[in-house]
Amino acid sequence: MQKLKKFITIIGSMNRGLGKISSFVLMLIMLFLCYEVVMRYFFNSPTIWVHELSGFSFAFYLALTGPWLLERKEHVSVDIVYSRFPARFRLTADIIAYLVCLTFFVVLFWVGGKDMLHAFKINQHSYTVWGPPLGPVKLFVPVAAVLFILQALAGICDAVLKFREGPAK
Amino acid sequence: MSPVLIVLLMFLALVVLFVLGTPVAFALGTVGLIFIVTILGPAKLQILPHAVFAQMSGEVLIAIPLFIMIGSLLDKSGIADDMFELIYKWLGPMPGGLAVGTVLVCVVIAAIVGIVGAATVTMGLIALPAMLSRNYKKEIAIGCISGGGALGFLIPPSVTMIVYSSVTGVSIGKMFLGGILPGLLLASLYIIYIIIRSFVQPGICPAIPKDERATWGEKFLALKGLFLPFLLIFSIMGTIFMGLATPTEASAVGALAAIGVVGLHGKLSWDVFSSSLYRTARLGSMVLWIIIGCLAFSTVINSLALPSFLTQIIKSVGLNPWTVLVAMMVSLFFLGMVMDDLPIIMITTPIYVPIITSLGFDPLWYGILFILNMQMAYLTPPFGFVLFYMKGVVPEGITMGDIYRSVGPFIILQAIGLIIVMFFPQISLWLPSLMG
Repeated sequence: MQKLKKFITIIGSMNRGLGKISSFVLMLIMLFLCYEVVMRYFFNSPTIWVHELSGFSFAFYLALTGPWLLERKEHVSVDIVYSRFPARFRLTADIIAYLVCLTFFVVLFWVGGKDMLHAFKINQHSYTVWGPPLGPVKLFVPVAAVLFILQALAGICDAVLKFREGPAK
Repeated sequence: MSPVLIVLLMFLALVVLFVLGTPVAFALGTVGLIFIVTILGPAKLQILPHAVFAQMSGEVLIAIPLFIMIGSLLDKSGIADDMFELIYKWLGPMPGGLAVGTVLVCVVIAAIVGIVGAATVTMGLIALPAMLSRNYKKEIAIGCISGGGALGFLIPPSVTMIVYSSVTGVSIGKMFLGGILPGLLLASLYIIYIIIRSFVQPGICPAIPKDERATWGEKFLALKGLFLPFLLIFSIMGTIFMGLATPTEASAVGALAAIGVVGLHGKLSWDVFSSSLYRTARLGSMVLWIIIGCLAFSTVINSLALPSFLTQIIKSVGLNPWTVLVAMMVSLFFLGMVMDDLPIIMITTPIYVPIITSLGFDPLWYGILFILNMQMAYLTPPFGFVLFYMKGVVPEGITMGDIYRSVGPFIILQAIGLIIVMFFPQISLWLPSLMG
C-alpha cells in the first residue's frame, strides 16, 4: 500500500518536473525562428537548419509535456455526463478511461520503438541539405509513450486506492 | 462490412468513451487503432509512427503554442487596460458606448491572440466591473464581452483555423484572410444591436455623467494606448500578409514582441514569464495531442472512402447541395452544445469536407462557416467555453443563469452572421482571392 503511494508520487513528480522544464523549450524554438526571419530579410542568408531543428525541438516539447497533462488530468474530455456520475462510479470510469489510454500508449511505444530502432539500424538521415540523423529524434516517440504508460499506471493505482478507501469514510 | 456501418460503430465507441470521461485525444487514438487492426489489418499500423513523427516535428503546428503564448502574456501586459481607458474616454459619453467600445477592444485583442480565453477573461476583469458600476444592465455587459470574446478565433490569428488547415490542407494564410471580414461583420452586428437597444430602452446602458467625462486633451493622450496593440498586430498579421514570414515564423516574431511589450509595461517578472510558459505548454500540448491521437482515427475514415460513398448517395437521391450544407451546419450546432471545437473538427472534417468539396463548394468558405458555427458553440449552454471563462471572472451575485440569459441575443446575432456569410460567400472569399 505504502509502496503504491510512493510509486504514484514519484511518477507524478517526475512527469511534473519534466513537463515544467520542457515548457521552456518553446522559447528556444521562438528564438530559432526569429533568427531565421532576421537572417533571411536583413542578411539575405536563410539557414538550412532552423525549420528542421525547430520541428525536432517541438517533438521533444510535446513528448515531455503530454504526460504532465495526463498527471494534471488536463487532456480535455467531454465531461458533461461524467461530471454527473456518482463519485464511486466516476472512479470506475477513470480506470476504464486509463485502460483505454494505455492501449494507445502501448501501441505508440511498440510502433514508435520499432521505427526508432529501424532509423538507428540503417543510420537514417533526413532528406534535406542539412540532413541530420533521425534516430535520436525518433527516440522522443517511445520515450513519450513510456512516460505516458507510467503516468496512466499511476493514475489507475490512484483510482484503485481511492476506491478502496471510499467506503471507510 | 459496409463503410457506413463501420463508421457508425466507430462513433458509437467514441460516444461510450467520451461519456466515461476518456480524454478526447486518446479515445480517438484507441478507437482508431482498434479499427485499423480489425478492418485494415495489423500491417497498416506501420504507417502510424511516420504520421505521428511528422505531426510532432512538423513546422506548421508550432504556431499553435506560440499564438497561445501571445494570448497568455497579453493578460498580464496591461494593453487591455490602456485600450479600455481609451474607449472609456472617447465612447463613455454615448449611451451604450462602453459596451460598443468593449466589442471594439475585443476585436483588437482578437487580432493579436488566437484563442478566446484571453479577451473574455481580460475584458471580464476590466470592462465588466466598469460597466456594472456605471449602471449598465448586466445582460448587455456580460453579453457583449462573451460575444466579443468569442471573436478570438474568427479574427486571425486563430488556433482553431490552424487546426482546420492542418486537417484539410487549406492554406493557413488564406483561412486567416477569410476570417477578417466575417469577424468584422459579427462585430458590427453586435455594435448595431447594442446601439439600437440603448436607444430603444434608454437607461439600460446610460452615458457616463457629464462631470466624469474626459477633456479633449485627456482623450488624445489616451490614444497612445493604441500604439502597442497595433505594433503587435503588425508584427503578427502584417508579416504574414505581406509575405515576409510564414504563419509559424510570424507567431515566433509575435511572441517575442509580446514578451517585449510586457517588459515595456514593467510587468515581466520571472513568475509571469514562467507561469505563462507553463500555461502555454499545457494548453498547446493538449491541442497537439488531440491532433496526434486523431491520426489513427482519420486513417480509418480515409481508407473507407466514406465521403465519396455518401456523395454518391447524395447525388443519386438528388439532394440539393444546399440542403446538405444546412444539415451539416445544424449538426455542428448541436454537437457544439455538448462538445468543444477541437473534437468537433477532428470527427467531422474527415467526413464533411470531402463531401463539401465534391458538391462544388469551396473548403475555405466551409472552414469559415465552420468557425462561425463554433462561435455559437462557445456560447451555447450547457457546454460553452466562454460561459465557463465568464463564470470565473464575474463579480459575486451574478449567477450562471444570468450568464445564460445574457448570451441569448448574441447567439442569435451569430446565427444571423452565419446565414449572411452562407448567402454571400464573397464576404469570406474576397480577401483570400486577392492573395492569388
